[in-house]
Amino acid sequence: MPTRFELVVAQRLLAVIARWERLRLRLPLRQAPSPMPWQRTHLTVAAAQWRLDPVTRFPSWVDQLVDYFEEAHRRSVALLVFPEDMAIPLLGLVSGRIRVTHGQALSSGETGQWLYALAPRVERLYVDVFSRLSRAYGMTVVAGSALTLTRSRLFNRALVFGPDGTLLVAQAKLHLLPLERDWGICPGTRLEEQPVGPLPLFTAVCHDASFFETYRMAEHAGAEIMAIPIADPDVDYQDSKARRGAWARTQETGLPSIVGAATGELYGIRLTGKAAVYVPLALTDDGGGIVAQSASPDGEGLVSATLNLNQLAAFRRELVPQAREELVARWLAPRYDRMRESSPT
Amino acid sequence: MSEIEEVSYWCGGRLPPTSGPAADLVVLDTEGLPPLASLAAWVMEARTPTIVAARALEQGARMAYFFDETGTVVGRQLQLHRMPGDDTPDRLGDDLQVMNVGGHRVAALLAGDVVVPELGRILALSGVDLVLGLALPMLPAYLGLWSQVQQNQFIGLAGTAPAPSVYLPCEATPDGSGTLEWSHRHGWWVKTLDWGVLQAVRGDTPLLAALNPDVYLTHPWWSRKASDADAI
Repeated sequence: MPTRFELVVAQRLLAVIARWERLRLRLPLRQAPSPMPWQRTHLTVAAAQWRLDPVTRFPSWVDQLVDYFEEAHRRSVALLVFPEDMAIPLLGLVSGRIRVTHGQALSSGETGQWLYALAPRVERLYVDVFSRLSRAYGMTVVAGSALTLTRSRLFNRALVFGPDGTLLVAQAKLHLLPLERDWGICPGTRLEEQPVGPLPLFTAVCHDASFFETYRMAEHAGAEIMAIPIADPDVDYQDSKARRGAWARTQETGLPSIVGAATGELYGIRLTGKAAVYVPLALTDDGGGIVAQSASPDGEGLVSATLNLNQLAAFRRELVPQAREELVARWLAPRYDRMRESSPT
Repeated sequence: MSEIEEVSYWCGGRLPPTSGPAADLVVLDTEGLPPLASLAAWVMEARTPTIVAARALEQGARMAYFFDETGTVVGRQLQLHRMPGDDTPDRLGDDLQVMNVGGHRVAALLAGDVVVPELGRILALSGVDLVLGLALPMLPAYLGLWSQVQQNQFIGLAGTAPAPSVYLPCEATPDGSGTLEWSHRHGWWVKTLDWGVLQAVRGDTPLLAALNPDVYLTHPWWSRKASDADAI
């Protein structure tokens, strides 16, 4: 286990590095394009596939982000979605100086201690970069997620920036993997209001999409598009496993999903996944429910598609089955109640 | 009563002429429901707990009967939802039956009910281990019962849609597909259920432990109207 001295030294070092990098941060001076009238019939969205290897040179990381924004801008993208855990690789800025190094096996407890101590220190730097890039390119951006401390508890929060660079939404992950619990991360305690300008967008994080409840709540709150940043710690990617999350929820609810996927190796954990845009099966030519998807579950890239929200809304209204509310109230609500009562506080 | 290890499944016609292969549970997914007296006699002869479902409408409903090994009707499941664009059945059920068979909790989802995720969750939180998809419409792969199994970690058994299959969590199948497919032919099939592998997956990746009921109860997507007594 790291000593308190090691943690404090690393914290201070990272704080200094982060402050220095923020001061010298140079981003393109591109003027945000005049806001285009938002059209429900032609909303172009993009999903990033991004390697989460630890960052050792911050300017290179920013340059790569700029490349993604440039490409998205070239494709007239209005909404860009990055993967889960986008901020964690920034801990690599102190790797070599501390024991959190690429490829070094740490126990869950050790990893948790380092994350608790260090991850919130890079949040401001990460927010700064995405805020400026969102404003520079005039896009709504789901910047993946970052670890943050709230009342001494660690949460994995997705951040959404508006085209003017404003932080619009911070939604904590509601459903955690056992690994994240071992690291000491806490599940979110509420579904935030998510008013993303004129976009009826709702963001949830990775494993949240394994549970139909997330999409039902979002739909009830007015969502018409779901953004799902993911980082799947599965060395053995398979399409069947990938169909258990956002793709399945899209088929159940008719809400399209834009999935930003992490790849690479993050502190000994191999990540695989494909960036994708999912819609109901019936709205795709081949009946597969996928309008854009990266070719490989490794590596990087950007996929994009144009959604017709009017068509999707009509599909949901006319063809998506809804559960009978009285049955859900009678049978499901008491079971949630029972779970709540029996879960440890 | 012994644990369910073998399930024999009849799909494709009316009541089969013989009791079929020995099993711990018999499922008859038939074109229509024979008279109850005939069914009871058939089950008495088979001396095995039996679930019989009608793919066609019977008295305006799609339904399944649950018999114990003595031929006594111990439960009945009606289809609960109409699918958009389909005005059948005339009559919907208001009850979700869970049966105890060989130490396992067993339930059936009929027709379009299989694509309503709330039903799978209700069953999982009721301790159901085995869900039968009966009288199913043709569905593409990865939908319906497959999806219910993946997000609830029970075993699913379907005679149709898209092919006669046993569904397990992806981690529990050798190829990671979550599907152990049967042959496409009609008639009797027998399947051995591996409860050990299901328990192992539930232990390694306890999906339902990640549910967050505090959040669901503060953002209910269902009506807050007072509900009847919890019936299951």
